[in-house]
Amino acid sequence: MASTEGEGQAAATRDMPRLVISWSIVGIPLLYGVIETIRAILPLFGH
Amino acid sequence: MALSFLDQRHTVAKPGYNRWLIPPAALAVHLCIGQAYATSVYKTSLVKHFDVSLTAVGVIFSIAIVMLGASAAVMGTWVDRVGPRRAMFTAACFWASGFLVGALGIAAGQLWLVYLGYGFIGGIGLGIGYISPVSTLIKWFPDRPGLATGMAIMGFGGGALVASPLSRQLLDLYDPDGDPASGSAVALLFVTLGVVYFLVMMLGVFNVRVPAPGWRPAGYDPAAESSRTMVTARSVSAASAIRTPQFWLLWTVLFCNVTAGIGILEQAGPMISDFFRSGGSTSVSATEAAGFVGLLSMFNMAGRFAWSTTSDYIGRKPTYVGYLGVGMVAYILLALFGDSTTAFFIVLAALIISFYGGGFSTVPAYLRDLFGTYQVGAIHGRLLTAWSAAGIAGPLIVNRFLDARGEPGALVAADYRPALFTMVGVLAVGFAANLFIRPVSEQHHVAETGSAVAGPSPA
Repeated sequence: MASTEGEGQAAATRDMPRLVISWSIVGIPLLYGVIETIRAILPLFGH
Repeated sequence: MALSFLDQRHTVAKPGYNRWLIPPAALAVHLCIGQAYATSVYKTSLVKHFDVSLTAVGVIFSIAIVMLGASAAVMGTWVDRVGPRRAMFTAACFWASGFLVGALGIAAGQLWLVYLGYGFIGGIGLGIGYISPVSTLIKWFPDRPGLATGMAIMGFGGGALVASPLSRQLLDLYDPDGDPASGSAVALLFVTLGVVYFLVMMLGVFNVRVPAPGWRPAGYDPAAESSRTMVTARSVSAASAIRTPQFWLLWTVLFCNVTAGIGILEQAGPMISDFFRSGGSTSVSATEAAGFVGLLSMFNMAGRFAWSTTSDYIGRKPTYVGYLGVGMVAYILLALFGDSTTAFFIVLAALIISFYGGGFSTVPAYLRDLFGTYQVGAIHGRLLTAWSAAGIAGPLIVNRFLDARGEPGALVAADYRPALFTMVGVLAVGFAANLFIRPVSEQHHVAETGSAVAGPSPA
């Protein structure tokens, strides 16, 4: 029952909007956290 | 009946379901429960609001972490039985309720309600949430379990990075003139976080699926995997696993790795100031020390992803040889030469903390290699008691040594040497335990459960 390469590509195309939304919901807050942390770190390097 | 969509049978993925939807589902849960490491933001406010000591407020966090370990150990088998969706939903309910009950406690001026809410109820949500996506990820990514669990458990480290600045901004919004913010502002913050976290965790609940029996990713050959000596194609039940020496050796490995890391993490801010103190004053400002703590959080998160992913290529045992062996060298260098330059100190501390994070995220894949996928969630839950034990031992070791050397604010680099060399010894114990780990004896394997990478847990 291994998925084939063709099935995989079709699934990837079909699921693209859902993938983008799902990853954005977790990725955007994570990016915000990383940026805020980098801003807090800058004084450590004399900025 | 209304909640029947949570049943395991309704979570089996249809053919063609994209497995890359599972990591964000897991991340949604771990990013939310990772807030547990951001409690320092409102600690001072709670001390002032309740008019109690810092220790009394710190108990809230301690209860939550103890409940994390206890609920992960006790509920692990249940999580494997009911599947990830019901487990994530339950975790979301406990975690959000914890915030709401905690908010009620703050608003009513009743500290015990905060203990009960955030500590006890929220702590149960932490434990169930932490283990809920792990075995599902391992089943979806049998070819790269380290990458999969690394992504999810990275979220736990990242949760604090998100929650800290977000909480600060919300407190500024709710109480613009407060310094520290008022109790009512913290209560409002708790309500906001409870609602937002519940909604985000629902993303995980609705997206998570278990693979259909017999599913495997394209190009993946289980036979090739099981030809590696440390990777089993058979499975061991949770009840049998805790009777194997491998479980307790791995428990020791995790305990030692976490004890050493927590020792630095808990003391990070004062430590960098003390290492560069001379003549009563330090060359590291409070702002720079806070930046150093943030930097360690970043490496804690990055290590969870990077090292766990690396373990897919070099194997789990060599990865832990690195965490513990290179960790020992890093601790020795820190003790002897850590005060030479700030950059050298930061590099060593960052490396040690990345190994600390990596130890957490690589261990589920190590368990999969040794015990199979059958009840890996339950076994993982039991193993997390090592985390709870290390959470007590690590700070205790460091604080006892430092208390004996002098007053906080007057310590120097040399005062840290006994504690750091003790951590080298702790890591050496873990290093030896890891070397003793061998494949599990066949007598512990369960009767044929199908392929180790197949289908939902039959438990």
